[in-house]
Amino acid sequence: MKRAVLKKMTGLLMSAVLAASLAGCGGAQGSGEISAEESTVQEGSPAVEDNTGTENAAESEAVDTADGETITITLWSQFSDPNSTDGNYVAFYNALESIKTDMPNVNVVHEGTESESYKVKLKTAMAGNELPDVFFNWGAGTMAPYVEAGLVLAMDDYITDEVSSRILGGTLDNFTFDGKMYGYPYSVAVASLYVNTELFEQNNVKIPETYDEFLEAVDAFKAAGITPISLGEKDLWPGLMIFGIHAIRMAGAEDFNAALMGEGSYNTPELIEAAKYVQDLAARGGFGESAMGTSEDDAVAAFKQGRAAMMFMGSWLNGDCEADDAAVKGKISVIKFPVIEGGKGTKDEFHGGSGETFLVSSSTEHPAEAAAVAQYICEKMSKDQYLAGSGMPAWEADMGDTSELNRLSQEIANLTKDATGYVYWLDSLTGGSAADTLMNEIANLIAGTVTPEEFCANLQELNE
Amino acid sequence: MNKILGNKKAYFVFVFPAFVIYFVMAFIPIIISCYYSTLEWNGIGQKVFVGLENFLELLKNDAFLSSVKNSLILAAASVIGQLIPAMFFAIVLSRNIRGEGIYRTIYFIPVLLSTVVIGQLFLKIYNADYGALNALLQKLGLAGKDWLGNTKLVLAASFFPIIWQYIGYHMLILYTGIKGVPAEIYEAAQIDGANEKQMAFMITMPLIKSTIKVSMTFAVIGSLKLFDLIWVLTKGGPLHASEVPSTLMYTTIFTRMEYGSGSAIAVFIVLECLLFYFLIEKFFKVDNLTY
Repeated sequence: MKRAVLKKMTGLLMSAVLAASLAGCGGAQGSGEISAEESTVQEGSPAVEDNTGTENAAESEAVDTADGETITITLWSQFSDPNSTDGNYVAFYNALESIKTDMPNVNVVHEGTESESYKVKLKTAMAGNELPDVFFNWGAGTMAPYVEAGLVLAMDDYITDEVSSRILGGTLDNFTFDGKMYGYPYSVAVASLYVNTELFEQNNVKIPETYDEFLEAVDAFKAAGITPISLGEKDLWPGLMIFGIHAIRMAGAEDFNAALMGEGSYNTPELIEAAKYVQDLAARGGFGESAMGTSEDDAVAAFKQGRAAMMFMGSWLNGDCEADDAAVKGKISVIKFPVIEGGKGTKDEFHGGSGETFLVSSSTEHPAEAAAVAQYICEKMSKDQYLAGSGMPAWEADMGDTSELNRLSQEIANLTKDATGYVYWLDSLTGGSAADTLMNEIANLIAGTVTPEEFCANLQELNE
Repeated sequence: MNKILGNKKAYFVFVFPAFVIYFVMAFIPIIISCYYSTLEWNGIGQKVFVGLENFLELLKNDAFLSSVKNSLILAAASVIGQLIPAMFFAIVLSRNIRGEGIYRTIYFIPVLLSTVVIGQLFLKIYNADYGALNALLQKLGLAGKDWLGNTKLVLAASFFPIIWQYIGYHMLILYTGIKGVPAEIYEAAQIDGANEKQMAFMITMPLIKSTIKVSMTFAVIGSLKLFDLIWVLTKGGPLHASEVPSTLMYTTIFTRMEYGSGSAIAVFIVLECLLFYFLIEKFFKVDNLTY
C-alpha cells in the first residue's frame, strides 16, 4: 500500500516537472528577487562589475586598476554585434571606441544583447533591481513605467544650457515626463514611402502624388503580378506604420497624438475613415497575397530583390536599399506619403521621430559620470548614425563632407525640412498592453475581421 | 546490498541532492507563479492583490479560450498522429527485419534535431513566395497557399511538424517495450497458428500497455505545454489562430507586461497538465506484469 502511494507521488512529481518547465519565467522572476538581495549586500563595493556579464568585458581593459580615479560605468545596449553594418550599430561602436580617449577617467564596460532578448533581459533586471549604470531604451510609453517606478534618473541636474542649445527642437518630447528630461536623443527616424522607380517605369505607372494615384499604382502593380506594397504583418508592428500614416493623413498629427496619449478619442469620423482606407487597401490586394504570413525580414528581402514596388518603412531601410547585395541599389526613391483628400493632415506631417536613448539608472553610484557617458554616446551617435545612413541627426553638428552620405538619407533630410508635426511609432508611444492591443486590432483590420467602426470602438476602450 | 536498501539514511543521502535541485528549480517557481497569478502587476511597479480576478478574466478572454481549444486539438492529434504510426513502426522494426538498426536511427533523427532548426526548415517549406511546398503544388498544377498566413490553414500547417518530429521518439519508447516481451510468447502463438496481425493486436499491445501509457502521457502533456515550434513558426498568429496557452503566456508577460494574468495562464497550464495526467492514469489501469 505504502509503495503504491509512493509510486503515485513519484508519478505526480514527474508530471509536475514536465509542466514546470513552463513556469520558467516565473522562476526567472524569483531568482531575480533573490539576486536583488545579494546586490544590496554588495552595495558600497567600489566597482559594480558584478552586474555586468563577461561577454563583452574585452571591450574594456584593466577593469580594476590601482588608479583610484578610474570609474567603471556599466552599459547595456541592444547593439549586440560589433561587425554589423546597420548605421546605428556602426555609430554606437564608434562612440564606444572614442570614449576611451575622450573620457579617460571612465572605464565603460559594455554588454550587448540582441533586441528581443534585450527587452526581456531589461525587464528581468528591473524587477530584480539589477540595472546597469547606463542602458539603451525606447521612449514614451515604453519608458513611462520605469519613470513611474523611479528606476531612472532625471538629467535636468546634469544638463547645461550650452548642451541643451545643441539639441534639435522636438527631439526630447518622448523622454520628458512631468517636465523632467530623462534621456538625450540620438536620432530622428522618419517613415516615408520607398518606391522602386525601375518597376514604376517598366509598368508605366506614375509615381503617386495624390492618394488616388497611389491607389491606381496599387491596382496597376497588382494586375501586373507584382506585390504593390511589401508588408511583413506576421511581425505585427509593420501594420502599425500603415495605419499610423493613414491616421496622420486623415486626423492630423495633433489629434492622432491626443488619441494615442489618452487625451483624445479614437472614435472620430477621421480615424474611422483612416481605418476604412487601410482595410480597403488590404482588400484590393495592396499588400499582396500573403502579407499575414510574411515576416518583416522576408518583406524587406522581397523589396530589396525588386519583387515589390513600394514599402512604407522607417529610415533604417536606407542601408538595406543601398547595400551592395541589393538588386534595387540606386533604383529606389523616397517620397512623402500622399495626402488623402478630405483629411485634416498635410503632406508635411510625418510618422516617426526621436525615441531611442540611453537612460541612467537611479541606483547608479556615479550619477554625474553616468549622465556624462549617456550624453557623450548620444551626441556622438547622432552624427555618426546620420553619416552611416540610418536616421536624421538629433544634435546640431558640423557634418563635414557629406558627399559619401547615403543618397536616401539626403532625400529624407530634404523631405522633412519643413516638417510641421510628428507622430512617433505607435507601439513605443503607447507601450505595454496598449501597444499589443493596437497591433492585434490593426492585424484584424488588415485581415478584414473587424469593421472600421468596431476597430475604432475597440481602440477607444484603451482610453476609457 | 540489502543492508543499504534497508538503511533509511542511505535513501536520504542519495535522494537529497536531486530533491533540492528539483525543489528549487521546479517547485518554488510554481509556487511563486501561483502567488504572481493573484496580482495585478506590470513587473516593476506596484503589486496589487486582486485574488482570483486574473483567472476570471481569462475565462472571458477569447484569445485564451481559443488557445486552450488549440492545445486540446493538438493533444488529440498527437495521440492519433504520433502513437499510431509509432506503434506501427515499432512493431515492424521489432520483428528482426533486415536493417533494423538503420531504420531505427533514421526514424529517430527528427527527435535529435533542434526544434528551432525544424522550425526554420518548415518556415522555408511553407513560405508562400519561394516555399518548397507551393513550388511542388504549382508543378502539379495546383494553386499555392499562404500556409502560415491563412487563419484556416495555419493550425494544421504548424501542427504537422510538431507531430512529425516526435513520431520517432514514441517509436523508440514503444520499441523498447516490445523488445521486453519474451520471444517464447510469440513462438507459442505461432505454433497455435496466429498471424502477424493477431500477434500485434492480441499479444504485443496488451503486454506493453504500461509503455503505451508512458508514451501517451508524454504526447498529451507535451502538447499541452508546447511553446517552441509554434513560437518559431507563427508566434501564435495570424490573429491568434495558432495560439497555444504558453505562447499567449509569453506575450502576456513580456509584450503586454501583465505579469499577473500571464502567471495565471502558467498556473492554468500546470493544473491542466496534472488533470490530464490523472485522467490517463485512471484510463489505463495497468496490472503489474511479470513474464
